Amino acid sequence: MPISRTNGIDIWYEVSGDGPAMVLIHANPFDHDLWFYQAAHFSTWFKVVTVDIRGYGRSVKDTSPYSEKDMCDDVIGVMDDLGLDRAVLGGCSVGSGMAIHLGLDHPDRFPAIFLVGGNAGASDRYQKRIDGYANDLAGYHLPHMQALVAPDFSKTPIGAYILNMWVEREPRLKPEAIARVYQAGNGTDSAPRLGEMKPPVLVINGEYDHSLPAGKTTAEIVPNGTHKVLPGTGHACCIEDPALFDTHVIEFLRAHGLMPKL
Amino acid sequence: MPSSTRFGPSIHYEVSGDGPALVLVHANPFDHDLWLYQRARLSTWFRVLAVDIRSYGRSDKVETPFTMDDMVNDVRGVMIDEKVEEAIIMGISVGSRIVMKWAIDHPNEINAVIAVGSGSEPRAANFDRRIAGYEGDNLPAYHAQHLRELVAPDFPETKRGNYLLNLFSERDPTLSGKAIAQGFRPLAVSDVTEGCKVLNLPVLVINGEFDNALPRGRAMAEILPRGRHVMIPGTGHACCLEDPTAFDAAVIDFLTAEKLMPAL
Repeated sequence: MPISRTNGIDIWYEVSGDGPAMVLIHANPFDHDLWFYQAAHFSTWFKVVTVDIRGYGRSVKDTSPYSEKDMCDDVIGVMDDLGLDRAVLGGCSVGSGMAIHLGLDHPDRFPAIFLVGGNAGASDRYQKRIDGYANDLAGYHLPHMQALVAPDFSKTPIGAYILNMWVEREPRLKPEAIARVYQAGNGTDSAPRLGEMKPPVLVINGEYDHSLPAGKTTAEIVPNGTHKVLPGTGHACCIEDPALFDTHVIEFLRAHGLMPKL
Repeated sequence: MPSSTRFGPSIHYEVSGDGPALVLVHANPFDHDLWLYQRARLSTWFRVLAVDIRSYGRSDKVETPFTMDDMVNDVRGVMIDEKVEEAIIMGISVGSRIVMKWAIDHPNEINAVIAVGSGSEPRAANFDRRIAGYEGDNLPAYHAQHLRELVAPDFPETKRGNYLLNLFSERDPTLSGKAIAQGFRPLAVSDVTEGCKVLNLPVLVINGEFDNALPRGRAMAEILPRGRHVMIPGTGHACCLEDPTAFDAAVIDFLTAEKLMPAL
């Protein structure tokens, strides 16, 4: 079973391909399959490791309090279990906050970082989300996902197919566990430390992404930052326009000498 | 890196999810990522094992002659190494022939079969053309052309279609035209018609509307004692990639009817 228990809890991950490592951390309220296009595509060159963060997928539904650092330690635990010293790191939304945190705390383990969203501080929407899930998980989950993509995406056949995948997994979710993810993600403000970021950082925002201003700010403050906007997409742009998303990531990695040859 | 060498060549595979085993066997000239949608979606309920058949993906490129039995054993080796005793098996095209032959020869290892884009009889003439193409001097050009022939006419022009087909072209430097050509030869002489007539397992046969194997798929479903057939409108041979919504619905309906869909 691909489960890491370094921190005494179960963290599920999946591995695709082989080569230098790439570790991907998903957003609320998805799971590791937020990266299913990238796991397939980037596995051409990389050993792609996609992690289910606490509260999602097949990882533990932890209802006791923990910190963003604990969540980061879960990712380090997966890397240690797999014997990965270094990895290109990607994160979306809460995963983007974790990736910033990991890049600041472990600069030697992450030669490059790409962020979707890229907000280094707290979100002003998190209590609304916690309440939404507490009141009616099944009624809140799909509208939440629909709010994270461009207005038309969930009406396309492929958009409806992709979002439905997480609706089908709702029996595994717990509102109390989702609340803990939001509380942990918002309990840490990395913004004051962004100037110390050593790895190069690519920030990608969808045109309709509510994190666009914060993502732009992050890309400006980190010493080696690049910012890209994906037209016609929202916060979850990696599932909305994987072609352009992947192109930006590959260009960024190539610019830093991190794209392996076949 | 997960690979099985139980029956000789190194066979790469990838694992998603947990639950009862579902083994996926891709078509020429793709690799396990032909199933990228099904790996994600069906891993909600199943432990999905997606195999690179010999000569594709990260599996060994075998340039010397081999048989359909060898190709069946490659996939069985993965199942044995992973300690899977019974599986649902799904294959497309050559993968369809592999899973059908597997079910006929080792029915006690199989719960149900989903056979996409193939009939039961040999078709030597068609494969001579492919063998010549892959043994020619421009693998990338022939590969790209072949990929386009296996989907509905408009699919490669869509942004998503172009992205998905390009994923397989980007892997050209890892392919061997000679090894790919070898893979067509066992298929050209394989005939599972008699085995189909006595196979006591549920089999769903799927074809895309533009799949040239559609009449042969229908004929195979007819001779299978527990066979049924579904056609996916607007798609070609690679229908699982083109319309995953309709494709998965057909698979899930079939598995539900056979009481093989786990509850969450």
